[in-house]
Amino acid sequence: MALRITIDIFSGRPNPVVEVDGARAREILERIKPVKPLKKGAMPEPEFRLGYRGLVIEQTGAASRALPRVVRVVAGAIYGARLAHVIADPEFEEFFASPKGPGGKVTVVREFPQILQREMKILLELRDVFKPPKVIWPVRPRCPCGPLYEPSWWNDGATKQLHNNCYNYASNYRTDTFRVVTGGGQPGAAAGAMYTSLTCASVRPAAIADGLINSPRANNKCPREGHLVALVIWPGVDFHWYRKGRNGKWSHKPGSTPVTNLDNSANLINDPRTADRGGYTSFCTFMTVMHGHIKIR
Amino acid sequence: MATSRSADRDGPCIATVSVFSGRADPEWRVPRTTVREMQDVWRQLEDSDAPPPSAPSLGYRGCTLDCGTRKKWFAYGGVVAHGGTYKRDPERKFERLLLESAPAGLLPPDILRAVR
Repeated sequence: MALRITIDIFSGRPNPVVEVDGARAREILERIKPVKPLKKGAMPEPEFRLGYRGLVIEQTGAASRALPRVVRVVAGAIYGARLAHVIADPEFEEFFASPKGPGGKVTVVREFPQILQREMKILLELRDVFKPPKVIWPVRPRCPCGPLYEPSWWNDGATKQLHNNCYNYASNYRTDTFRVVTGGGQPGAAAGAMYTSLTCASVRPAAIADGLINSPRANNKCPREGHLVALVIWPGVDFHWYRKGRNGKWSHKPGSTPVTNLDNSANLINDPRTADRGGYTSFCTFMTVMHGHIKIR
Repeated sequence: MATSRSADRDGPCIATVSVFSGRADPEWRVPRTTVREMQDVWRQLEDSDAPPPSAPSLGYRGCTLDCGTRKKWFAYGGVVAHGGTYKRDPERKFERLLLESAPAGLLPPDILRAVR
């Protein structure tokens, strides 16, 4: 029975090593026997800190079956293959570093045993106040195929903002033609089937002609492919579109004005059917935009 | 500051109403007599510290009289802005003159009702 014990403490210079055999080795193995698992949230192996990081104990002779060949003992705990346990003798390290222990005789630097004892005490204090870090798990997007809400990209105060309207924005299709060419940003214009009246019955088929898919039963749910938009009408006056973004919220771009995610009451838009839409009182339908499948003039 | 004769020396003055979302906003040429009347109203208005209030995103969001470089006015919610100057117009005279100069049928009736 023989043990090689590495005092894992240094960074630049080699760690001190002590060899122990016979009865001494057997006594150490008894003292570091695992007795019960560590509590949930306990300090893990401090492998990556500066200063004392524990005693790496390797069985170099005939190994005991009770323990893995290599274990780490630190702050009263033992770590190894399937091991994260409290050891039988919580004062083992204090003994190890004392004048009677194997570490008490190491002389690599002046007063090394005192340094080791101090470092061990610091780690014990750290163990007592350790709190596991709060893990913030990545949030799965609610509509993985939806466009990002990135108003600053659209709201440039210049071409993108001024010459792309609600239809462009909802479809996520920039044309820079609104108020520039006849039919720019108008449903159906690209297909030669522009709407002829400001009614649901006229604007809806015009958008279908552009390649949007009528989805009246979507019920505000994200489609598996593409993204959801909504058509509303100010009867006899105008049309407007909203789009559902990757975060599940709706946003819109009224004409040449900036993109916003607020309705007319300055509330976030969870559902365009119930949002404050001002004069756009008629909710026509949901539609689905398949990326790359539509064309807008 | 524009004078009552400036409308004669300038080019056409164009009115634009910010109101639509899908369609292009209405625009029309404002008669010179109306422009002079509006400029008279502007001169009589009292100064304001605050700019025009924020408008809701959908629907009427204000109107602009554009007579060229440095001759642009914007009116909404009882305040008129011209350059860096703001003036209070609690009766919305400036705004009403502009909106009422629109050709018949160009503007939704709700807008004219809102400013009367």
